Amino acid sequence: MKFSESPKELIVWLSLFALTILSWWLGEAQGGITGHDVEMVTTAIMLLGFFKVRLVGMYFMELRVAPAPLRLAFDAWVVIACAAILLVYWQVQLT
Amino acid sequence: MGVLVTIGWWLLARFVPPPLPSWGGQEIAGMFAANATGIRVGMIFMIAGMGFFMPFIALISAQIHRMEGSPPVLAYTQLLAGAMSVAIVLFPVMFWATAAFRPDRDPQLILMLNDMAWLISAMPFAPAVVQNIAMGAAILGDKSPARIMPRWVAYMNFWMAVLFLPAGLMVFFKTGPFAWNGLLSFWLPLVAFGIWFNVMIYALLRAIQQQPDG
Amino acid sequence: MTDITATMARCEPHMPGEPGIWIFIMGDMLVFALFFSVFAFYRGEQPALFSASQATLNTGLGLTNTLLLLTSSWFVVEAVKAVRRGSGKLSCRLFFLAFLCGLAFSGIKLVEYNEKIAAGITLTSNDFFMFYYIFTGLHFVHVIIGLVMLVFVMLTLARPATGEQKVRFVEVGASYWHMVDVLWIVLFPLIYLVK
Repeated sequence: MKFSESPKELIVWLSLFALTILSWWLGEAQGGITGHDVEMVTTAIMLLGFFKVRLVGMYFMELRVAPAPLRLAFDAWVVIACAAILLVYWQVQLT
Repeated sequence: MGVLVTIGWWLLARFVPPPLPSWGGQEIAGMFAANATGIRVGMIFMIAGMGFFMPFIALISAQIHRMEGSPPVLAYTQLLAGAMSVAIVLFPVMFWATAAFRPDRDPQLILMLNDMAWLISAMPFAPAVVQNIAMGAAILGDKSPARIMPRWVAYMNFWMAVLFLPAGLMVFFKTGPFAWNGLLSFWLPLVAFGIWFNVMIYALLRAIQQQPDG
Repeated sequence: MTDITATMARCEPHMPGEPGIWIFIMGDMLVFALFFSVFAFYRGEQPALFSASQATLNTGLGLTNTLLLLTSSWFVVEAVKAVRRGSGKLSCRLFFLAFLCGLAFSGIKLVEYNEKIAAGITLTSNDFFMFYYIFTGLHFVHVIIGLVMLVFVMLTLARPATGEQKVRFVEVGASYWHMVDVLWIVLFPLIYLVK
């Protein structure tokens, strides 16, 4: 049973797997730190998350080869959603 | 209809934004006493507005019937669900009118009328969701050579259906985003309804223009 | 070769499925982005409460669920490629594997909810758990709809007729399922991991 002509998607899947475990590890380790480092780790984990989202969008959802407006809309969502979460998070932390 | 409802609900009755669910009998009774006339007139406007909604629903059903053929199950479903939506909005309007009719009533009774009105206004998500799903299903199942409505309208309907769901949770909360004055239980369905209404008007006009005379 | 494969071979832009499903997908993602922001806001207001409540979550189950959905998405990707090659039977089997992953996700979710409810924690316990139940719950509804769609995709593949419309329908189901994955990829760290 031949699975695929190109291993690209397999590599993406393995990367996603690894990045997820990394995020989880960061989250667990975050329990033991305090101060502003906590916010840094949170930011890192969320950025990782949206990077994963982009991987899924571009390679799994095939947006790399989709019409430009659709790809741009997806990218815009990634940027805006990530920015919104981080902005709201940081803004409340700093007040 | 949109104009009448907007004037009635928003400007005259000042129900947008909605009063806080966490308010007790005293505050609510005070609100009805202070704005009794505004609320009474506003409710009359809303009743008139509801009148215009009925032909709109019927028109949608007629177009669904064109798409569906026989037996017109989806058309009937939409008609029923749409009719229920109209009837459902009538209850809150009448409860508010009743509260404004005799504002010097026991505050606890006015509180109850107000609670009933607000909960009924958005919590029953089933008619709206069913209406949207029926609409979407009809469009996707349209096998006529010239599409009566563009397929993306179906997907938009499905999306709207999702947006009406969170409001079903308002019975649990008196504060927060899921309370009846909250972002996700009030504003989201309101905006969703506005978008849906306008898109459907556009789609209906197109479908009618495309309709062969006879 | 179907039209779609020909288009892709010519390196022309190809929109999977049909425009309508992307309206739904982008729309749904927009709404969930709103949910995410609301959560971040409330979290910022009560960091101690949220962190303490978050600590009672079973992160291991959450992690497992994330990995399950990622894997199911990969199965779907391979399944779509198989359909384009004309290997309907292989495609059907891959979709079934994705379906099983989704089923496992659902089972674990129910176990998680049950664990919490048995401990007396419900959606009115505090703000964190309100969001926990409602957002993961709404996502769960999407998963269930996705499972139903996968079933329809498999049924379509089981029928002998081939053609572009069939491939498009498969792509619609695949795209929707990937959206379900994407939403969880953000939900998991937001609710389970970040402090």
